[in-house]
Amino acid sequence: MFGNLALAFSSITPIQIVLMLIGVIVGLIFGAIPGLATTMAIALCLPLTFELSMVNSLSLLIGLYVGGFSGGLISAILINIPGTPVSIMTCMDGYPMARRGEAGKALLLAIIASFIGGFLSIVALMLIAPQLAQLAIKFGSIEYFSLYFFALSIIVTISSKDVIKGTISGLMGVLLSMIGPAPLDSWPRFTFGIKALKLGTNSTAILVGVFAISEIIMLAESKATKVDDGQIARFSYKNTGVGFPVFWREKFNIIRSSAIGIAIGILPGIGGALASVVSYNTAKRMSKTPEKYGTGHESGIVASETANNAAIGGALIPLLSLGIPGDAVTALLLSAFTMKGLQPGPLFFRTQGNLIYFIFVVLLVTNIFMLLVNLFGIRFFVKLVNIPKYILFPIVGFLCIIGVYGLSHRISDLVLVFVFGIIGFFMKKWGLQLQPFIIGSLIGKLCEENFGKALLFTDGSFVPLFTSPISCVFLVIAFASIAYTVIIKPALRRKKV
Amino acid sequence: MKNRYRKYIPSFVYLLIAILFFIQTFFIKEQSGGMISRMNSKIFPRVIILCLAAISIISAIKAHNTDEEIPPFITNKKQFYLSVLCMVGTLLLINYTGMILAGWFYLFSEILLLSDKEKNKKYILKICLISLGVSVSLCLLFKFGFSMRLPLFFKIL
Repeated sequence: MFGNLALAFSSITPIQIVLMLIGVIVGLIFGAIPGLATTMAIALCLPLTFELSMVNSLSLLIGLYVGGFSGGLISAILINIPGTPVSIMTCMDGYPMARRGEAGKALLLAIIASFIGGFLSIVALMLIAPQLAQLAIKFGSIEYFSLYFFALSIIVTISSKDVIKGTISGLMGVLLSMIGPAPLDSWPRFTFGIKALKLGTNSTAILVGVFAISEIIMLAESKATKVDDGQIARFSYKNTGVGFPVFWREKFNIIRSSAIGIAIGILPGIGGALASVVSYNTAKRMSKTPEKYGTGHESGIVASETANNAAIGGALIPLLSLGIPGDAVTALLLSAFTMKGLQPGPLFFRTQGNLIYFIFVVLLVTNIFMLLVNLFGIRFFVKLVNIPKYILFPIVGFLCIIGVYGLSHRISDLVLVFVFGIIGFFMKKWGLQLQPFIIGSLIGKLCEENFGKALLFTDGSFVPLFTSPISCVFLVIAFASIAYTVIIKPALRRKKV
Repeated sequence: MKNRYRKYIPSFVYLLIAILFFIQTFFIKEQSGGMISRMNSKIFPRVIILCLAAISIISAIKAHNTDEEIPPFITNKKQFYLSVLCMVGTLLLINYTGMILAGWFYLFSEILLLSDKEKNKKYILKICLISLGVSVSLCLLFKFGFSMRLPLFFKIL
């Protein structure tokens, strides 16, 4: 492994380093500004990566991912508004520290904790993902169908707040994926007489529309353009007292929070925000001084920031080894792979070994960039937090237009962007989550393709789906998780009430 | 639209989508003979469509059983329609005048739409110049910096 890593390190070009740096900076900007999101940053840059090679494109996108997850801590600590949901628990202790003049200390703690959490999760990714892929290499179309069915069941489990709306959103995503050539015989379907739909829909245009343009319409419609006027705390890195002894004192907190972050990251559809909440609450419960949490306690910041960054590596484990995107960001990354004709999954480790090690190295390098850029560029990001949204959002919108047009040079794709912007607007208004929609649109066709292949292979019999041990395990997990979300969880909730 | 009917609209729209897709399945061409013809491209979509239709009905029943007051889906209709109009205008302009003017129009109209500041002549001129500057610099950056094929003016450049 170390030999491969060294080889991947040596193959990095200056352009890739620049792209990683740009990715981290742009990600930090999107993460730091409340209202902009990591998903929006990746959706925006996705069309721009079309012209790039796979490795260059990954350098940029992974930079955005790592930067976006960390940017939220800046506004969480300085203005008490988490730039991204994953930094929600950082507000609890970060802002009180900033209010009592320890903003520099809080920022340093959060930045270094983010770095450590990210680093440990990358190590976990390197150790776990190849083993998982090794196991998954035995998969045939029967097992693949069950795996994708399991992935589709995530639609239900991630919508536990409102299963009906989540499932509707996911099913509409699946239907959308069916527009265009059918996987078995390549006849165009669901074109509604529109010629442009014969080749299917452009997933990038849809992602940009649903994530970015819908947000601009929401903003225009609600007129909530003022950046919340929280007082920006002053900060200095001098005499903060943050050093090795502080982190040595927090070693158990760091290890526990990283483990929680990685474990929650692996579980599809849960994400960094919950990792941060669970880790914070666990740290508080296990602390000898739980009363200090929420008043500006170092351990609270460390627990929150270590866990949310640890979720990055965790979320990439199912994506790279099984081809399952667990959340919107990994779904967008999956889209970047498919755009280049690559399909992450068990065979990915065998056929694209060099690329896998390149991804590991990019994660490590971008994590270091995240640390350095955060440490030295924070004053710049603080200024950005104050830029009015009414200037920022239209610029993001125009970048989306250029990006999508540059991708295909087709006005029909821009029409798709705006149409899905409006659809995304109504989805948000009607309380439909976007995550299941995106997962459905990416997994739906794969599920159908393997369903068809499996039935061809079994001569139309469903029995092998249950007699193959791997397939059976996936189906049981899928049905059990659906049953838990739809039947058991609401029953438990009712009992509590 | 009366308040009491508003809560059914989303479920009705989902059901309508399911029906439209279901009708489309009748136009799917089938291969003749062999196993592929049995595994035709209608089965899986129809299962999904039926699931969507069933859940839409459940959603409508759920909406029927709630007494919650549903606020209007579009609270600021004028802003919403202007925003959509701005997009349509941008699309038309890209097609006929190229990216720079379309970009200027998009940025100028969106900023004016989103900003809640008093719109006097000086402010409008400022926004106009900012939009033009941003549009020109972004277009040039992508066209010459990233070698992207963008029609800058009237499909000529």
